[in-house]
Formats: sequence, C-alpha cells, structure tokens
Amino acid sequence: MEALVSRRKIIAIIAAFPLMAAAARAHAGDPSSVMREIFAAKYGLISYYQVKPGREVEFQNAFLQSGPYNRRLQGFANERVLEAAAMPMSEGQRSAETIGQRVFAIARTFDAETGMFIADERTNAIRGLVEGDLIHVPVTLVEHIFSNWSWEKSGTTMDLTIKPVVTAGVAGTRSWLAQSRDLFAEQNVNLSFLKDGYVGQLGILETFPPGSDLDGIQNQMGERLGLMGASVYRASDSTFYVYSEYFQAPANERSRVLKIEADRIQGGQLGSVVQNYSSR
Amino acid sequence: MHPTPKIIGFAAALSLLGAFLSQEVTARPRSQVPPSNIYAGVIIYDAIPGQENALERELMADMSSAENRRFGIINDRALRSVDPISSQFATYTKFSDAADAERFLNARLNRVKDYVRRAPESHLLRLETSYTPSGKIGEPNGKDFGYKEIGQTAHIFFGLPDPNYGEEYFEALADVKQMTLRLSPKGWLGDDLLSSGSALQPESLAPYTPRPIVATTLSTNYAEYTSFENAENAYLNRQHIGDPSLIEVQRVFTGALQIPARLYIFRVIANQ
Repeated sequence: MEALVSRRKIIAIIAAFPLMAAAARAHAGDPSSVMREIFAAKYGLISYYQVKPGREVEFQNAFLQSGPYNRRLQGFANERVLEAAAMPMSEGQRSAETIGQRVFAIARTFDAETGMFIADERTNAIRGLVEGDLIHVPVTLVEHIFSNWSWEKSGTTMDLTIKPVVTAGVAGTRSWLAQSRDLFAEQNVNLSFLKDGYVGQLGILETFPPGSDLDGIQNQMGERLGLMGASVYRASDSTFYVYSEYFQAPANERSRVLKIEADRIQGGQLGSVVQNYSSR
Repeated sequence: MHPTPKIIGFAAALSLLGAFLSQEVTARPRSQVPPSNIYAGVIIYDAIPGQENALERELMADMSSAENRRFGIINDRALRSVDPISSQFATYTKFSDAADAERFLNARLNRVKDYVRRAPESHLLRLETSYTPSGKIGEPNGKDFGYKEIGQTAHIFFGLPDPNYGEEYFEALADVKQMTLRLSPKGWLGDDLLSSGSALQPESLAPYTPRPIVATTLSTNYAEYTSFENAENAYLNRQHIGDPSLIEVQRVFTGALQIPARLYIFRVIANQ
C-alpha cells in the first residue's frame, strides 16, 4: 500500500511538472465548461430571417425569449445571432436603416434534432415579425480553425490551429473532448471564438460549393489577418457553410451579400454579433 | 410634420437619463450598496456608415478645464471597437454630480445626433467599487486606474439580474472581482463595478437587444487590460484555479441573469 502511495506521489509530481513549468502559460488546465461545449458541439443549425422593417428589436426579443436561454436543452451549446451589415446601396442613413432587417443565426448543438426542435419552438413567436419563409439549414461540423494573437502583436506571423472533427473509437485518434483539452493547453492560440457573452464583434457566414477543397477554405481564412476563429460545417447537399468571427474583419467582405434561392443560402455576409449565449 | 423615429429615439434616450433621478420602480433592495458619490455615463454609439471619423472626432474633442469644472467631470474616456471597420464607439465618463452628468450627457447626445444611425444606448450609473492590482477601493475617486492612458483594451459588461436574486448576483460578481484581485493577472489595469442603484424599466435597460421581463437594476462592469490577449488569459486562468466554489459562483451569477450578459470590447482612444 505504502509503495502504491509513493508511486502515486511520484506520478503526481511528474504529472505536475509540466503544469509547474507552465505556470506562466496562458491556457494551462481546463477552461470553462461553456467553452468546451461550444468546441465539442458537432452539429449546427444555420438560420436566416428577413425581419419586417420597424420590428427589429421586437424580433430580437422574441427570438431570445422563445429560444433555449430559458429552456434548458441538453443538446444545446450556444447560439450567435448577427445583424447583417448595412446594405451596400450607398453609405449614409438610408443604408443604415436596413441594419437589423437581415438576421442570421448559428446554433451549435450536440445532435441534429435539437437545432430543429429549437427552430420549431420559435416559429410561432417570430412568424409575424418576418417576411417570407424561415430558412433553416441543418449542418454538421467538419473542423474548427483558430488564429493566434498576431493581429495584436505587430511583427508576429499569423498561425492557424486546425481542429478537424474526429470520430470516437477510431484507432490512433484522440477523442474530440481530449482534443479540446489539447487546444486549451496550447500556447499562443486565441480562444475568444469559443466565449459566450462577447457581442459587437463582426462575423461572416459564407458558403462554398460541394467539392470545395478544405485546404482552400483554410488558406482563405489564413489570409484574413484579424481572424478570431472559424467553424466549417457541411450541409446534406455537401455545401460547406463557414462561420467566422474577427477581431478585425476584412474590409473587402463588406460588399458581399447572402442570396436566398429556393430555400438555399448562397454567397457571403458580414454581420455584427448581437446575441451570443448559452442556456442559463 | 411628424417627428422622425430618430428624433423620437433621442427623446427617449434623454428621458432615460432623466428617469435615473426619479425612480418609482422598486425591487428587493440590496442590503449593502457601497456608498459612492461618483456617477458614470456609459454610452454605446453606432455610427452611420461613412460617419465613423466624424463621430470619433466629436467624442475625442478636447474639453476645456472650464467645461470640466462646469459639469463636474472627473474623467472622460472615448472608446472605439478594436475592429477598424466596425461602426461602434462608446464613452465612459465619470462625474461628481448626477444632475451635472445628465446635462453633459444630454448635450453630448445632441452633438452626435447627425453621426449615429440610432439614438445611442445610454446609462447613468453610480460607481460603487473599484479594483486595481493594489487592492479593492471601497470609495473610488474615479481616477483609480488607467487614468489618461490610451491604447489599452476596455471591456463593458451589462448584466440584468432577476431582482429576486439581485442580492446573490451582486455578491457573486463581487466574489469574481475578489478572485481577479487575488490572481492579479498579467496586464490587468483595473475594474469598476457600477449599477443603476435601483430598478429601471426593461425598455431603458436594453433598448436594442433582448429585454428583461421585469424591471431591475442594471449592473455594469468596466474593466481594462493592456491587451486583448491579457484579458482573455485572465479569464481562462480564472477558470482552473482548482476551486469548486468557482462553479457555484458561475452558476449563481449566470443563473440570475434575466437575459444573456453583453460584453463589448473596445480600445481606449482618448482619456482626459
């Protein structure tokens, strides 16, 4: 018994060494459970709404109150709601008045059913506040992309950390949750993308056609120097949906607009995050 | 001629400031509200696309010492989003008198009305406690950290607790700040805790974002770090200090919020 205790002590001391050495490391140890859940949620529901002019605040209110903030769902991790940037018709007050009328949302869930359940529960509350159909696209996570702090540290190089989804039980791979632990222990990776509560930052929802090369998507993200992080999803028709957020968004993305054709979302859209929450 | 929605919005914003001085809504009172005679105006501005520079110039304009004396201004910080293409700005201004504060903020709102796409979200609050690496300051003077510095990252947090659990919420918030104080994270300049003091109606608490169901006290936390990275690391390192009570504090804190917290990140661009 004593030998066992001693051995455990030694193991504990050895195990503690990296932690001690990493006392100054930013992400050593476990981050909050909310961040892990946002990382681990392998499913998503992307939604798009055309809000009636003058009903923008009412819509935001109804959207939250009929959603999972006050209705705990085991399968729900987080939702981001963005108001699309001003229509590029012109600068000035006229274009600013369109802000809040085109809304897109990304719900992160642990199963495919939860997203659609949330959408169904919401329908009655928001139906009268929107024009046209409610657009919902169920998606599955392909990978997360995280940037470093180069945007804030002049003279440093942008470096992406890619976390492709792994399937449990595949030989030679670490579990998805274990990968979150690895990520949180890595140096110089910013994890702001996984935090709930942050609002006001800019995000982009964009699509890439079926057959798009993942390396090409990663390269495109890598050219955006103020990237915070991105999640790459795939829909049932193999279209890629990429949701990304920025410390400093690429200015050339301002003029892109999402197009809705036959209940399909196409193109790209810059917007401002106005809700970013997990269940309370 | 009918007033435009924007004018109506401004009138509403001005009346919100007035409402601070004539509260009628009551909620379960906090048993210990820190005494303070310092007031702070927190305003979030959304510029009309193309008017960002004009708004920035207006918010950064130098104030004369006569103006400072006239309005009892202790400190005025102008903030801009860390993202240059964002149109969001904020000001955080401390005063020695609530009525003077209201007059100054009303005048400022009037000066910027041609540059903003909607009436700015505006709150007049009481500064209750400050925390700096040197310790907790029960009677802050409004210049306790980051005074006249620019370039640092500024966080503005808005929380709207259910008034039935307001006591627990404010205690949990104070516990979290004590934790920050204990850890004294790298790059941390300080935190101010502020509140509206008494309950306000939902429309004034969140004019453009989801509203609380019932009237409540607005809780605000203004914090500064030397960089965004330091701010994030401070948050992450707090999450794994091995103290199970941290989970309890988090659950009490988030569970009491009627609507999700809003945390805005800015950079300080003027500080006078």
